[in-house]
Amino acid sequence: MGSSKRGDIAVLVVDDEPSILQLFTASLDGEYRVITAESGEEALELLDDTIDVVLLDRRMPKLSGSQVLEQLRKRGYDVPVAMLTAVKPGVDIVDLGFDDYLEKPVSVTDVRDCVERLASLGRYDDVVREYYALASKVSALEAQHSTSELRDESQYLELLDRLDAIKEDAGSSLKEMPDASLDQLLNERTISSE
Amino acid sequence: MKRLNDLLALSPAKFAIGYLVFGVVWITLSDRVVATMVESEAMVTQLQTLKGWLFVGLSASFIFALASVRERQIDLWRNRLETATEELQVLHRIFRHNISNDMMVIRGYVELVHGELSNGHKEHLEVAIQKSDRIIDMSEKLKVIESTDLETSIETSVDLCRIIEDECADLEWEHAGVSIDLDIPEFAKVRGDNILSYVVREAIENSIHHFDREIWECDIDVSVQKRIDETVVRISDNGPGIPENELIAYRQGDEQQTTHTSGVGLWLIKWLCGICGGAVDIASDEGTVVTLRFQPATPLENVAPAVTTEQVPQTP
Repeated sequence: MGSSKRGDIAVLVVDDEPSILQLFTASLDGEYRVITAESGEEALELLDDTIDVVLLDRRMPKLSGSQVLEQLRKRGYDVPVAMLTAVKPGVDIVDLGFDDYLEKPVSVTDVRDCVERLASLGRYDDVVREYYALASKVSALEAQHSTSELRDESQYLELLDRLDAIKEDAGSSLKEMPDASLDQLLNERTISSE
Repeated sequence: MKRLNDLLALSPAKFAIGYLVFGVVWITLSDRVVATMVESEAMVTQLQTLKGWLFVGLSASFIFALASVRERQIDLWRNRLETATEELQVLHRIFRHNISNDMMVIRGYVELVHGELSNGHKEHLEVAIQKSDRIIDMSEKLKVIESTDLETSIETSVDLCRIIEDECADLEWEHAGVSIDLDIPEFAKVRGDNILSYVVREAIENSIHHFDREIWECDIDVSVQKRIDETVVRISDNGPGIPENELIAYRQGDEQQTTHTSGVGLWLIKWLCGICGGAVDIASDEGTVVTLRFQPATPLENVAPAVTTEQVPQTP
């Protein structure tokens, strides 16, 4: 699987819980270069052009994950970001600029798969990346809310329309996606949410 | 003042008897006093009237004092109950969050070691992973307690049929092979909010998870019956039924025994139905039958037509 140069890929993990930082380091070490930050402020200090993937805890004291993400995008970094959270996602996530949404508790395999997908996202054009981000948001919402709750949320319905539209646009690029195709990802996430 | 409060805090029976005794003594005694003190008949009538008014005034003050004291007591208890419920929800959230976090770390390390071991040793760790998953699963199920709003659940109403249609469509998609037959009216507005979709889903999922044969043999029937005073949902399956000891534990409300994940699920169904003013009954013979009873939102004849599934709002 993957390229032989994985050790060159730098992953920044941000979580205020040290035991989780340690676990993620142990899970990713060897395959990736892992850098950890225990707070949002530290994450922003450590962030530079060499970081390829960011795993960002959403609920942290002082600077929250969402705020860090906003700052990071403002500073012009378009590094793929996965939000890591125990917080039930609300429709507010529609406007957040992340690429993937992992819900705690996550397994080591989930984290590894997610980092692998995000690292490979960099190789595809913006359309694919947007499609991926939209699909993550849809599945995160669907995993935590029933259809009855979501069908009246205009933001959710808008998200679905955007996803449909981009699916057509991105048709050709999507065929080039690696083994973990996006449709498969979408299905896996929804099923695992039961 | 304290003595007055003590007096007013007496039980209704004691208070009534006290009042009766006081009334009898007052009337007979005051009548006699008036009779011995005054001789003129006109004067007696006047005094009697005055006495009557005095008695009415005294009674009114007593009733007022009694009602205020009771009202204050009720307020006090309601406040205490609200605080206790809030504290319990906070405690639950903190506790559950910590368990989830710690279990994730424990499970993660087990998974790491599992990946490095040779096949012979993996089995032990697989048990550890399974057990971790069970705790995580239970903890995730209990999440719904935190998002439950005790007040709106009873004050609002939802269309139960729409909830059932949505949940069944989702479940059939998620568990390919399972067939769910619906026998439901067009709409059935009941008291409660979207939390009821959790109840419906949990009850049906319980049937699916405990099905012990090939999944495509799993048949689930869901029916809704509207009656004058209640709306009844009946969910029945052709599965193995729920073990007797778990049913007993459930009926006795003994959460200590409901250690199985399904036990937590059953308990949650009961709890959530309860806060929406509904009730649950579970019977298990050949297969399991879960009966959910809800209060209709309005009397049957006044129910407004519900929004049908076709009318999903479309955004451009």
